[in-house]
Amino acid sequence: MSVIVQARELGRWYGEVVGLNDLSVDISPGITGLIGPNGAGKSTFMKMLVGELRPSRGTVQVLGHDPFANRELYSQLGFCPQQDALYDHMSGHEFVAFCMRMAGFRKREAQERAEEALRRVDLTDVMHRRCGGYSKGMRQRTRLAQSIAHAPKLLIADEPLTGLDPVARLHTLELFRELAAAGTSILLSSHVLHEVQSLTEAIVLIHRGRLLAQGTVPDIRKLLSRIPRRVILRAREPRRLAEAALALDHVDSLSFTLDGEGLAIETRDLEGLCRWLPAKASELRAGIRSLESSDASLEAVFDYLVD
Amino acid sequence: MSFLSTTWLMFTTYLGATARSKRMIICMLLVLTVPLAALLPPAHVEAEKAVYMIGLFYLLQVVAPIVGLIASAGVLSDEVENRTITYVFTRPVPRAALLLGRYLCVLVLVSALMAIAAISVSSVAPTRSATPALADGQASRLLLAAILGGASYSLLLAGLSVFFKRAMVIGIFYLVAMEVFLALVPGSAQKMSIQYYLRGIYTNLGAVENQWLRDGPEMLAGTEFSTPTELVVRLMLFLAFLFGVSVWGLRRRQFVLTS
Repeated sequence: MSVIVQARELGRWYGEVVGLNDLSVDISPGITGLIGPNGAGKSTFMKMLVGELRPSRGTVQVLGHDPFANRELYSQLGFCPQQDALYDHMSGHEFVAFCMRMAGFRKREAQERAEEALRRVDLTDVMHRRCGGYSKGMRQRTRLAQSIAHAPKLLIADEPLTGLDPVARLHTLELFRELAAAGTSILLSSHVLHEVQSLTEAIVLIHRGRLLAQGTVPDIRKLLSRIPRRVILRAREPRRLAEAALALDHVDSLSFTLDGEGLAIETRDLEGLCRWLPAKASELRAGIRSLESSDASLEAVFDYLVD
Repeated sequence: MSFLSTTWLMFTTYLGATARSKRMIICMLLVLTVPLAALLPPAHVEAEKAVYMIGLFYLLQVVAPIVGLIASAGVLSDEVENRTITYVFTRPVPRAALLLGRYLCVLVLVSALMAIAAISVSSVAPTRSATPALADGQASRLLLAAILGGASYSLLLAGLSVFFKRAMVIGIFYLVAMEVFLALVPGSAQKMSIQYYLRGIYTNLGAVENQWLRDGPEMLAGTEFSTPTELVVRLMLFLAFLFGVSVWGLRRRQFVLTS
């Protein structure tokens, strides 16, 4: 199958609030990152993919099926929801086994699969404790375990790394790699680009319910490079540097800080500026004391693209 | 997974948790007041009349509706409010099995509670009375009416919760409007209430005339009742229809869960 998810002019409204607007996208097998800031419509899109919501307009196909209440599709689908919801009266093992029973496995196999899935998310030690007593990270991993225990063809994970400590985060990323190597397609959402880029090159960017960009990480990086970056440097002779920087093509603006020792430079080529600066500062005896650069966050990319 | 095996899975999974829930504890406390009420009539009151009055005015008209509503309030709303319904609705199981499996848990527990209440009234009141004899079949008819009452009201709220977010509020409104006011009006209008069926089954006025009952509670005067068997059949048909509508609604319903 060349396309696992196909959305056409997909829209979803919550009363007067637009959750998703005119989204058309094709997603291929493998790992795909769905990136967008909070409130972008990632969860709404995912809920439509797993058939929890029906589109207000447009169509969506997942593994060739209309997902709403489609039992045939659900046996091939794993969903790790964002909401921190578990059956708190059950243990992690009971919960995942219950989910596996619903997936159609007999009691014994359901328990074995639950055990194996919980082992893969490093919860073996606590799997017989009630979910109500789990930490946020444990709850997140339990949700992940129920979504992978039946070996789905497609795993849809909504912010699966949220709430995990750095070690668990690395383990989870490694787990995703293993699943992908075994042939599972994964669609995961995040509002942090670097989290996803270590896993996959395939990115779908959405913002305010609309598709902003789709492509590989280098494509997205090109978008990043087009955004003017602000560099603040402090020097003994900032005016000399300013005069020289004015001649650079990629510099958009210059300004001085109030104390007269700081120079703010807006550039479209941060790397070029960093290559140029040391030699020039030495030549002009400008005496650079410090250099700061604001990070081009994903939020900035969105704002830039929308504007 | 088939409908029946999923229903069984839901039933076995949720029975213990439902029994231990706060809602069920409140229901138990309410049911405990029924035998206490049976101790209230003075000794000179005939047991038959005391049991009729407590059965009609307290057990069937107050306890059964409230227990039914409270017990079934969580059938769907617990899953929706806790946002765990996602795990069920994204599995290859029939949605209706969740409703039926969880409703059966409530049904079993409510039936047990209502049976305890009915048996306690029929057992306690005669011990206090100078005339302890009950009418033929009175205790068994009260038992049947109480269980059917609990089952009907709990299914009603379970059905409402499929269609409305605030099913409990609508359920209380229904109780007040239909089961309190309408059911107290003598005549055929009360046939639209569940109370009518429960009273007809309990009093047996469709099969045997009872002048004391006809002259006693106002809502029984001038109201025609069918035989208890006919009333049971009609009530069961109504419940089946209600369940069918609920299933139809559940298959189409989206539960918008905000993060």
